[in-house]
Amino acid sequence: MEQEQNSSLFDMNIDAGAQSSINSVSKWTRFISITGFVGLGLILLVFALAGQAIFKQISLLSELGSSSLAGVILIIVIVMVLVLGVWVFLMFKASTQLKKGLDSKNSTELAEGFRALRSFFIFSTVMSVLSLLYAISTILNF
Amino acid sequence: MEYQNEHSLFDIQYDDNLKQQMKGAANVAAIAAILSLVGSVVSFISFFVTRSRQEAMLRNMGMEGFSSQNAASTGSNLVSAVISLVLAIFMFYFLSQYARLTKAGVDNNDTMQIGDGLAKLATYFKIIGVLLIIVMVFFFLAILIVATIGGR
Repeated sequence: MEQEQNSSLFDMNIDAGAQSSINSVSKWTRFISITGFVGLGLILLVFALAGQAIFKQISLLSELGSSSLAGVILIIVIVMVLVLGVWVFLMFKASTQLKKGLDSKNSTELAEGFRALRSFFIFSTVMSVLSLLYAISTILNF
Repeated sequence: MEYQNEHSLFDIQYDDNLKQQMKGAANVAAIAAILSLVGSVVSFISFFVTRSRQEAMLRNMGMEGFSSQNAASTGSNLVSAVISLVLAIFMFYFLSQYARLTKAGVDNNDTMQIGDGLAKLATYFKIIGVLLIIVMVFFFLAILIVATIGGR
């Protein structure tokens, strides 16, 4: 028991300021991720409702055949939506886990939130590398 | 024992697992911040390289007039490129500060530093959220204008 008390005296506790910051991170990441889900849903909805018309308009401006161009555009849109979907999902997961950890005052769940946040940052790093490579290729191969 | 129970009821402790995950997130965030800033700087340079090449191409084709007509759109592109770079620098600052303070706080067992780091992370996501709101407002305004013009 003495050991327990010593441990509680010397352990680090998350103070009110840090909890408020984690809460703020959770709220904003939730807002950003939900907005992201809605945006991606709208993109899919627009393509589902007006996809044919969009493909026709673009194919008029292109030398490629209508069907092959439609296929290329469709693949690009699907890949983009999937990549952004994973990114947004990771952010949403981090937000949910952080909130759960704060609400239940459970450090294990909070740790899971930071693990999800790390996954989100890993994905962001990959996106940054791709963006950097694209920018470099633009400079080199105009 | 009673104190221990009350203590554990109202506080969350930085246990080893939590500290490890916080440090892991901070380490990756530091790399993401640097790469994001480098990407933004290279994109900014790429904007000028592309613009000078386009102007040279138009000059070679004898389309100087067309080039001057495009000055307005190039100007607005320049403004957006500068705004993007400034925002990227802001984002880099907050994310790298979060990473630095959190790592130092975990290593030194300093709760104040960890708290400061988390506050920087909150500001980072707040900036993204506010930017998202601004983008949405512009988007809805654009839709409103298109709908109004289309309705006439």
